[in-house]
Amino acid sequence: MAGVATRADSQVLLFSPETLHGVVDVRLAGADGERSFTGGGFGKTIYGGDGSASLQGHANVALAALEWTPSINWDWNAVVDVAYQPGQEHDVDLLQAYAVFKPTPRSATRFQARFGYFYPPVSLENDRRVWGLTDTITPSAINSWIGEEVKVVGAEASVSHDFGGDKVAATGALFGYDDTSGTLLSYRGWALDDRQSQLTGSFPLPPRSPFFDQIQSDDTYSAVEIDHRLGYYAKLAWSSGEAPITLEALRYDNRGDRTSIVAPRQWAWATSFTDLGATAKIGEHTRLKAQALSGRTQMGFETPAGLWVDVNFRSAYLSATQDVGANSLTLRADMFDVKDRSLAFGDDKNEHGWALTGAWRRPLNKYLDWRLETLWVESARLERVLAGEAPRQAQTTLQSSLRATF
Amino acid sequence: MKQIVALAVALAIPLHALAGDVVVDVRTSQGKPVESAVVTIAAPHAGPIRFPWAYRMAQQNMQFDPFVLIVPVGADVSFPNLDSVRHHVYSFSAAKTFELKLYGRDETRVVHFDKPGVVDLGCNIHDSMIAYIDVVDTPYAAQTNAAGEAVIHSVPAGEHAVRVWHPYLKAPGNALTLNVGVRGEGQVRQAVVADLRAQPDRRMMY
Repeated sequence: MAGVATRADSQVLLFSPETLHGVVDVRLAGADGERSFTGGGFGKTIYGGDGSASLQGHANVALAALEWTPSINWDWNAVVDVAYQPGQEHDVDLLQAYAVFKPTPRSATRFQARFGYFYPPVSLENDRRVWGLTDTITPSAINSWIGEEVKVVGAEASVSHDFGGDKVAATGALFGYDDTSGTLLSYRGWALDDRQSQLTGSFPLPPRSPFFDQIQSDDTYSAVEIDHRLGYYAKLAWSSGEAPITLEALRYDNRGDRTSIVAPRQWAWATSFTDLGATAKIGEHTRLKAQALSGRTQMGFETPAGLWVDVNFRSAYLSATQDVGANSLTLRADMFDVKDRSLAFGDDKNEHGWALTGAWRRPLNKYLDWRLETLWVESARLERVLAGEAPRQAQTTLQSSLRATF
Repeated sequence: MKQIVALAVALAIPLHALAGDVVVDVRTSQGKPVESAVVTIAAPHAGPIRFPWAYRMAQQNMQFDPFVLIVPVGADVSFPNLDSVRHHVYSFSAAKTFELKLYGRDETRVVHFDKPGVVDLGCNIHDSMIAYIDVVDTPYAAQTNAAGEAVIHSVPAGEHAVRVWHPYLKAPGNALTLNVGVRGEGQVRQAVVADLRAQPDRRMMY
């Protein structure tokens, strides 16, 4: 018994099967329509076509990741995600690295804190290892953007209280290294893809008007501290004790100084948004999720014609998942738009579009999960003419994902 | 000595004869059976309380097993970890506050439960793990099976208070009480309508 106690009290657990996990996603995809944004275009999906109505095939390893979850004691642990993703600036890079302080609850009030490089708690879709998705292959437009441009280096504290059924949680964070958030959303617009931003990597931007071509690099780096100002987010969440319903609201503001710039021509964007989320279960086998996000991003100097960039962005989705035996069927509808409030520099960042996603998930065993997904997206964006494309584009993708997790 | 034995036999025979089985059938108002409800009957008893099932709350496949365990006051409950990962079992319930740090690979600890009441269990590493131990001070206790039925044997004759408890039962204290009359012998059936709240999502909402 003494030996057991000693072992239990030694607490540090660095390398063991329990602290090392892996995810490998083998993807087959076909897509028609415009070329993907991954090559610096305006396409809305990760696997683009050749500009025609014919289906272009793709086969790759979409993700190969290692997740390390060491503990230094029973209250402190960490999550470190290192991943290979094709088509990124670096083949392998860090996706998340943070410490978690989660003391044992002593009452109905619980406390948790995170420190490091992590996603703000916006997504209702990404709750698997390596910020993976539960029901579909492709996240909603909202959570695609979170994966690309909303990850912070910061400190977050949460407190929750269980009122004998009803539960309320409040979360607050201070952060940096998210100054370029809004760049992709402004120059490219919304997209639907499961790429995740890298700590040191960048995303290519689509063609820009001559003015923006001069002032902005061709790539946007996701984790850069430019203006040395702290941003914040705050979240309130409630779950009902009477019915399987949760509601949450989050306010994010990176408090960017929109005239700060660092090499290579990376600007601090003043980006803020409000996200509302809701989940509900109908019976035992039907789950609903909805999120709506509305925000504004600004960059550059004031001119008589307005700011260099000043856009409002909005998106919302509703998804329904139905269990069919051990499998599940998910249907999701997305809408998104961008409103350009400053048309001063030969640009027009206005955009609107919508998407429908249908996904079938079949768990094969404890380690293997197979998903089949079709995604249809239609959008209008005048800036496509800069790439020689028609402003209105529609696209269909079909994807198969075999995902191994250990 | 013979007189004492004779007296004991004389008392025991009528006592045994004046007892019956109580079958409690717990269903929702839609008629769906309610499983894992704890049914207890407050009736006079003597001697230590022993139940025929194991006083054991395992952790297996990232879940507690069983979901609900009934033990008598004074029971020592074992907590074997049958998973290969660690579990950090805790409770802050008034009936028992404790914390167990269990490494994987079949480590077992024992906890002594010395007060009656419901003990809510959680795992601080895996928020979705939940279970309940109902520590009771009566030998007349059972939990409902998949058909919503709990059978309590040899309940002394008389009018008794019956308590039906389930962690998600829509009632104050998650419990209903009713009276049941036990006649001398045979079986008494009692139907109970108990609606449940949806099972809460115990994942942290941060």
